[in-house]
Formats: sequence, C-alpha cells, structure tokens
Amino acid sequence: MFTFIMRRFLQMIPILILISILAFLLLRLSGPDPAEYMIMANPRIKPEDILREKQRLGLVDANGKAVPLFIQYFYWAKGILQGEWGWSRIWPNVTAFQAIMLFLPNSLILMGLALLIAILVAVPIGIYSALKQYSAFDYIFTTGTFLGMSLPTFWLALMAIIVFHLLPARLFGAPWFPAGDLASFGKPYAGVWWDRLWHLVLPVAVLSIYSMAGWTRYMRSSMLEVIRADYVRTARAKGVPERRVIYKHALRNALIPMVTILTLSIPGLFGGALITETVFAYPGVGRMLYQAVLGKDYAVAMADILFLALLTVLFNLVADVLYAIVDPRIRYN
Amino acid sequence: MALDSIFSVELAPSFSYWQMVWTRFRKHRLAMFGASVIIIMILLCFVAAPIITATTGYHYTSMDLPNRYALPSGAHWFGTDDMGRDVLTMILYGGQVSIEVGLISALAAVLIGSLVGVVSGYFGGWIDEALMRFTDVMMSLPYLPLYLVLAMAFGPGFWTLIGIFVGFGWMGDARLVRGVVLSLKNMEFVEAAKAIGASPWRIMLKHLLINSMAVIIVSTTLLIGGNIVGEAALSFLGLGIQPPQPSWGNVLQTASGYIFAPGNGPWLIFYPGFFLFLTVLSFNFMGDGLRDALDPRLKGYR
Repeated sequence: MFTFIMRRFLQMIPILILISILAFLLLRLSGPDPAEYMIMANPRIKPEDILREKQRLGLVDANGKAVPLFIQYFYWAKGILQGEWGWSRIWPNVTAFQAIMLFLPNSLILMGLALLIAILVAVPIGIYSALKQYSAFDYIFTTGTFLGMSLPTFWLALMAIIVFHLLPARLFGAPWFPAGDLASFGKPYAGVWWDRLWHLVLPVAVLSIYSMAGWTRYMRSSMLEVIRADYVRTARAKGVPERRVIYKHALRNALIPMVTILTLSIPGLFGGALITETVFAYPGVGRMLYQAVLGKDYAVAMADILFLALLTVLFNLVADVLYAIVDPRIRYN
Repeated sequence: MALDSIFSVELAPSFSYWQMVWTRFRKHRLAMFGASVIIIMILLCFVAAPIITATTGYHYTSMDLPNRYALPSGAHWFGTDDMGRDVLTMILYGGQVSIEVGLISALAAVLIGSLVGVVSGYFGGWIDEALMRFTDVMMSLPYLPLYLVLAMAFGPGFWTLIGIFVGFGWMGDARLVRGVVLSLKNMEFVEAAKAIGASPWRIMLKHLLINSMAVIIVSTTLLIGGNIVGEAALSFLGLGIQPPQPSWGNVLQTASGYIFAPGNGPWLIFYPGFFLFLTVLSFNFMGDGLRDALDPRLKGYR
C-alpha cells in the first residue's frame, strides 16, 4: 500500500511539471511585459531603470541580451518552489499566495455545504430510483437529472435571485433570502452564524444542483448494476430478508464507485463555483480569479490555476487510494 | 407450376443498420422531443430572425429608447431591453452565434479527438503511452479558470471561443475512441484487411473509425450542448462574444447588470436563459437517445 501511494505520488510530478510549463508559457506569452507596466506607471522612466528591472526579473542577462524562454522558466519555477508567487496587482500589499489563502475559507464553506447537500439528496434518490426501476418515481427523477444537468448555473443563479429575493421584496415588502454577499451590513446581527447561513442558502442550492443531478444518475446506474449481480441473487435465494439484501449486500458495493466519482469531482467544483460566486458576489476563490483576470492580475490568476491543478492531481491520487481501501479486490502492484 | 408458388415463404423484411437506428431512435420519446426542439430552434434562429427583421424592422442594432423595458405585448412578444430593442429578436440573433460556436467547436474537437484515439489505440506502445499521458494532463487542468485567462490573453471573440473549446474539448472523445479501437483491433475483419495488404491508415480510417461511429456521434451531440453552455458562460462573464453582437450569454449578462434596477422585468432574464436551457437539454436528450439507438449494448451506461 505504501509503495503504491509513493509510486502514484511520484507520477504526479511530471504532470505538475507539464502544467507549470503550460501556465508559464501562458503567463509569458499573454501577460504584458513588465517594462510596459513601468512605463504605464511612470511615463518618464529611464531606459536604464527598465533594463535593471528586466535583469532583476531574469528576462535579460547582465549584457542586456534576452534570456531564452526555457531558462526563464527555470528561474520562474525556482521562485514558485521557494514560495515567491508574485505580488497581486489589484489587492494591495498581498502576494498571490496570500490572496488565495484570504478567499479560500469562504469557498471551502460554500463548497463543503453544497457537496454535503448534493450527496444527501443524490444518494437516496439514486438508490430508490434503481430499486424501483421504470416506476413513475424513477421516470420523474431520471428526467429530472437531465433537467438539472442542462441548467446553466448563471441562469439558475439569476432566476433564484429573482424568485427568492426580488419578487418577494416587491410583493411582500421583504426578500426571503439575500441576493449575495457574505453577511448583512449595518444590522445588529450582521455576521452572526445564522446570518451567514442565511446568505449561503441560495448559492449553496444553486451550486449543488448540477452535482446532485450527475451523482443521482451515477448512484442509480451503480445500484442497478449491483442488484443484478450473482451474489445478490444468492443472498435472496438463501432467504436473507430483502432489507438486509439491499443495505448489507447491494448498497455497500454500489457505493464503491461513488467514492471515486465524488472525490474526482471536488476539484471541478472549485472551478465551477466561479460562476456561482460571481453572480452572488460571494468573496471566494472563484470570484477572486474572475476579478484577477479582468484586472489583468496575472500573478494571482496563475497562482490560482496552479493551485487548482495541484488540487486536481492530488484528488486523483486520493481517489485511487480511497478506491484501493474500500475495494479489497483492487491490487496495487 | 411456378417455382415461386412452392417456395412462397414470407420473408421478414430486412433492415439496414441505419434503418434500425432510426426505428429505435423514433421510440425514444425524450430524444424525439430533443431533435424536434433543435430543428425548431435552428429554423427560428437562422430563418425566422431575418424574416422578423424584414417585416418588423427589429434588429439587434435598432434601438428605440422611448420604449425601454416595455412589457411583453403584441408588438414585442418578450418585451424590450434597456435600449428598447426587441428581446425576441435579440434572442434569435444571439442563438445564431451560440449554435454556430457549439457546432463548429464540437465537430472540430471530435475530429481531433477521434484521430488521437484511433492512432493511440491502433499503434499502442510508446505512441499510445505518450498520447494518453498528454490526454491525462489536459484532463487534469482547471477548465473554467483557464478559459478565462486564455480568453483574456487572446482577446475575447468568436474564434478565440472556438479555439478554446477545440483545444480543451477533444480528450473525452479520444479516450472513448481509443477504448473502442482497442476492443476492435484484434478482430477478424481487421486481420483480414491487414492480410489483403491494407495500409495502417486505411485500416484506421476506413475500418476502425467507421466502427467507432456510435461513440463519435454520441460524444459530438453531447459536446455541442456542453459547448453552447460554455459559450454562454464565457459570454456571460464578458469574455466571450462581445456586444453589440448578441449571444445568449451576453444578453443575459446585460440583463443581469440591471437586475436590481426599478422597472426591470424578470422576463429579460428568463427568456434568453430559457432558450439556452431548452437547447442544451435537447442536445442532452438527443445524445441519450442516440446512444441507445446506435448501440443498444451501451444502454444504461453513461
């Protein structure tokens, strides 16, 4: 087991190097020249100063000759490894790394809740749908998962704001749920836990719908597959009560692939939360990235992309390890 | 005595593969619903929109400022927006771009993905290893954040969107096609083709790819839907199709900008999103129906 984890861990390295090369190329080829920034900030800047800055950044060598791109990459990678992720342009006196750490807790709360609710809804519905295959319940919810997976997040978020905030405000004088933000402003209860929870209701609901729909389908097909297995038939044949067959024999095995699917979808949730966070003005990592891109804050944008890539690769590893743990049939040699 | 009267046997009518596909597809009610909606949507966007412009003069450039935020009425079925433009006209012209982006990028991505998949599966060895590792890396990228950076870097627009969706859309199909090719390449018909001296390219293109069609068609259909949402999402974030050219995404973006403004009606948000939702849903239904129709063995699998 240990060697398996180590081997998978080592396999992460080439993937991360490739992603970092991609990120670096994007940064260099698309990001503006640092000299342009300096001229923008101070039009009367001397050419010597620009040269010195370029030398400091490793873009040109001591003789003023341009440094090849791949050598620049090594300098950049060295900086990343040493924790020099660059300064943010739009958040003053904050490094790219600090910017991520600043917004990460908010994102984790939002996504943790969305994940929890999606699982709590998807798993029971998926199981029940499979047990009652071709029933009205199954038909309604299977069609429902299609609707859920086709709903564009931003439209759903806007409609949620209209239905649960704007319309009640116009009809009854007060909105049912806030349309965004982390907490209320200028109220005695601003920032109290239930105030924050109240603000999370709409974003969490919107964010969880897509995952919910997908996972319901996975759960259903996983359960259907297991129910037809020989050992389930054997259990029934030897007179095991139906409840025990379902919960003890079938469900345990049907949940195995779900572990992998849930783990693998967590990094994607981070990226997907960008839209939800933006529409609800929720200060999370996703909205931070959106603001960084719009503000041409390439250091923060790239740091965030590297962070998300690391997360993806890491969760791939976790999924493999979890799979090996929950399914004793998997051999890892 | 005529021979055929002795041997008059009722032959079961024989069907070609595509006839059977059509028979199965036709029975799939949701897929038929999807296909009809798609056809109607294409007709509305590409045929009805110019007719509306010709008869009423409504166009996405024709502003009518005194008539801003008009309620849905006989003259403006879906009302008017913040510049007095007819919302229905905006949606139909917007649909043109959205459908074009989805269609072109999905076709190109699946073409590339299928080629990668068939080469990888057929040759195996280090080629397979290299291509699949590259595919793995591409699949472990954070898409939406990367799309944003790329759109910003290359300048938002029609072809940037297509480039992004092709560049990051081919991997799923490559894996699926590779899987099919791996299961096919040791079968007798490939052996036979090799034996009569068919070149590797001929085998890959004429035998293996043709037999992967079920997978290819299904993933194209699903990818079109996915890319239409992707276009709308990027345009909604202001990094896709740029106004005044409307698209479902940027019409929604404009509407969301004055969502809290007095006089703004919910229909400005509802209609463009609903058209988008209906189209994507239809492609998903159709993809599901096609999967069942093209290869009944795949039924129930995702």
